[in-house]
Amino acid sequence: MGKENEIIVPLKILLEEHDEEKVKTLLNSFSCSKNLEVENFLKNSAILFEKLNKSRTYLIFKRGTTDILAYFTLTISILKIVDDDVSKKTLKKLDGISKEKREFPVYLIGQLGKNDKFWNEISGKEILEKAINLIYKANEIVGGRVILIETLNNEKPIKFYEENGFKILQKRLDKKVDKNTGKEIIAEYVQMYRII
Amino acid sequence: MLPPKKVNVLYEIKNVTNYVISIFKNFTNICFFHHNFPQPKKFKKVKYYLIKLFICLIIINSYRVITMATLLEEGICIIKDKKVAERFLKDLENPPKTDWREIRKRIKQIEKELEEGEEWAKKMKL
Repeated sequence: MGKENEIIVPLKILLEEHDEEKVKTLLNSFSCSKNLEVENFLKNSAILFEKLNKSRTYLIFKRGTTDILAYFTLTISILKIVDDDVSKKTLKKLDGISKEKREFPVYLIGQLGKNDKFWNEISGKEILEKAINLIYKANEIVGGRVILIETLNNEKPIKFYEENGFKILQKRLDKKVDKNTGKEIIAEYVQMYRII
Repeated sequence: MLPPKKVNVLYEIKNVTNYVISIFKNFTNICFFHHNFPQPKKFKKVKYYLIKLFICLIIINSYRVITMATLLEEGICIIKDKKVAERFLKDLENPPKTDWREIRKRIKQIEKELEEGEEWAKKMKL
């Protein structure tokens, strides 16, 4: 499917133009069985995060319809180096002024996922391209040097991001309890970055 | 983002909290809803405090679930490993060459797409 068949809508605009309950119902039509976190975020947190200005969610619709093909969420985050042995010379070179600065502002692609129902109608590359283009837009206004993503530690998504210029930063483990089922979920994530 | 050790500790807290909640549930069931159970006057105060404690436990429980979160929810990414930090800083020191003309085209394209999207959002019938 080409660009002419899809349309990108900020969730913020949808909330301004329509009743919140109706938007919620629309978001509930999204499903992503490959990554339930992606699905749950859109259904349970996206609106709240939008209201709190914590992140911005963009929905990609099939043109002329209310079918959500995919979505992604962008935000700003911080990457912090806590190891004291890191070369101060390097830190100063990067910051330009301070050799003590160990925190870097980063753009975070917090969520990115396709709808099960329209899996073949949009490619991951197209979604990522839109997300990165929006980051470029933000970069033109406020600067910034790093894009960060976090994905499940599976070969396929890692390969996908590597093909699109991302490098592995580090891995992390996470344990949580599913609010709906009460079951324990243990997930291993991979954090990846791309320098702008 | 929490280190695995801290994750484990918090997870234990969660388990203990669940256990305590289940005990309280059974206890309150027996005390307050069983007709044969003696209920002296002072018990009213106890009942009040027990309910308060029960609510607190539920709040702690839900907070823990929020604490275990994705990077998006946590808002900070911590690098503890020196090698990882050095590798990242080295990359940052030598950024790839960027074709800003191409990027400006992409920005214009996405701006156009967003404009269309906003128009569609207004027309959309939900």
